Amino acid sequence: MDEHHGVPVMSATTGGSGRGDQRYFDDVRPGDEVEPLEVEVTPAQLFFFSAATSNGHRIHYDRTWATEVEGHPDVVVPGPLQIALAVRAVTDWAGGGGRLLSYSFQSRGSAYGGDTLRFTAHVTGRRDEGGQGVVDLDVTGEKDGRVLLPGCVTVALPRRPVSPLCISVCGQNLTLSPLAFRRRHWRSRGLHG
Amino acid sequence: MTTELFRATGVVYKQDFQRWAAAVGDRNPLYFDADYARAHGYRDVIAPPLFLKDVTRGVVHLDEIAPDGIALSRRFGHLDLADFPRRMAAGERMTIHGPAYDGDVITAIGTDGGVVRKRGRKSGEFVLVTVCISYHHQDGTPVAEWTNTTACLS
Repeated sequence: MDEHHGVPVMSATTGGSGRGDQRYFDDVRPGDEVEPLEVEVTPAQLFFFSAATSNGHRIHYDRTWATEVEGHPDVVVPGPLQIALAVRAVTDWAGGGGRLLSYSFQSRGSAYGGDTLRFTAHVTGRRDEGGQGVVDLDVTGEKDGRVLLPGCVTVALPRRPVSPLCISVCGQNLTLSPLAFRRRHWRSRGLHG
Repeated sequence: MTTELFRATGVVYKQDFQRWAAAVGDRNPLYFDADYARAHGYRDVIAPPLFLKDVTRGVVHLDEIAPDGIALSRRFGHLDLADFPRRMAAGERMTIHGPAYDGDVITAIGTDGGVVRKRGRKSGEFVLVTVCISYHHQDGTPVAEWTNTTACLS
């Protein structure tokens, strides 16, 4: 973890393994902020991403071509890498029980090898969709405070498991799962459970 | 009526999608740790959803590459863009329907999402080319839909 403007951020080298905690639909509220993700995109990362996507475009690794032929100040961070990082900020936050449903991004500005990009996100809405807990977030990728990548991401989050019911009967503590409790309740009323 | 531009099939390989995730710096255990993935309801590690875009790109030979390094197959050969040789990502959106696993065979169907000519203050005249791609399993189950817009600059 690095300190940046007083906000703990994950660095590219430690990767997005800061997950672990599961995010639950029940606990999420509009306005909640996602832990920002800050990544210094090195030329080596540009190379590996171009290789992983079989993208031969020379602006991503050939500085002479990028500057002299296509007029960029340096090698260019691929738009899809900016987007992958922006989505990663949200999936890191969502945890392994979360599912990415959709995203939409506009590539508004370029970033170059060696730039440090910062991805922030906040919850804009939550809703029940056929029993599924769905959360919308606004996500922004920026460099030096300038917005490069505005967009939004939608994820499904699991619901918090219902804790077992603990009751005391004749001095003995009995722990019943809510379902078992409901079944006993139904049986006692002559209903099928 | 949308025009079908291409149809391509590719296989999801674990090492390929793990390399993709590593290049993003994403150590999400759903992509790397089968036990963790199973504990979260999957039958194995899953491919990062955004990796799907790269599953059906196929193999590009060196004589199938334009001088700027872009595969000729990705240069919108169906359009006359001779005056707009430079390419920049302009934006994209994706809807994900379900996971893809190692060994899955994915088919992509690309359709024309529109071509718009524009004029920017700094960039001059440029063309926005949008392609919509739907990805599905061999039994027809949809995996994802991706809409990608590329700016073609002079």
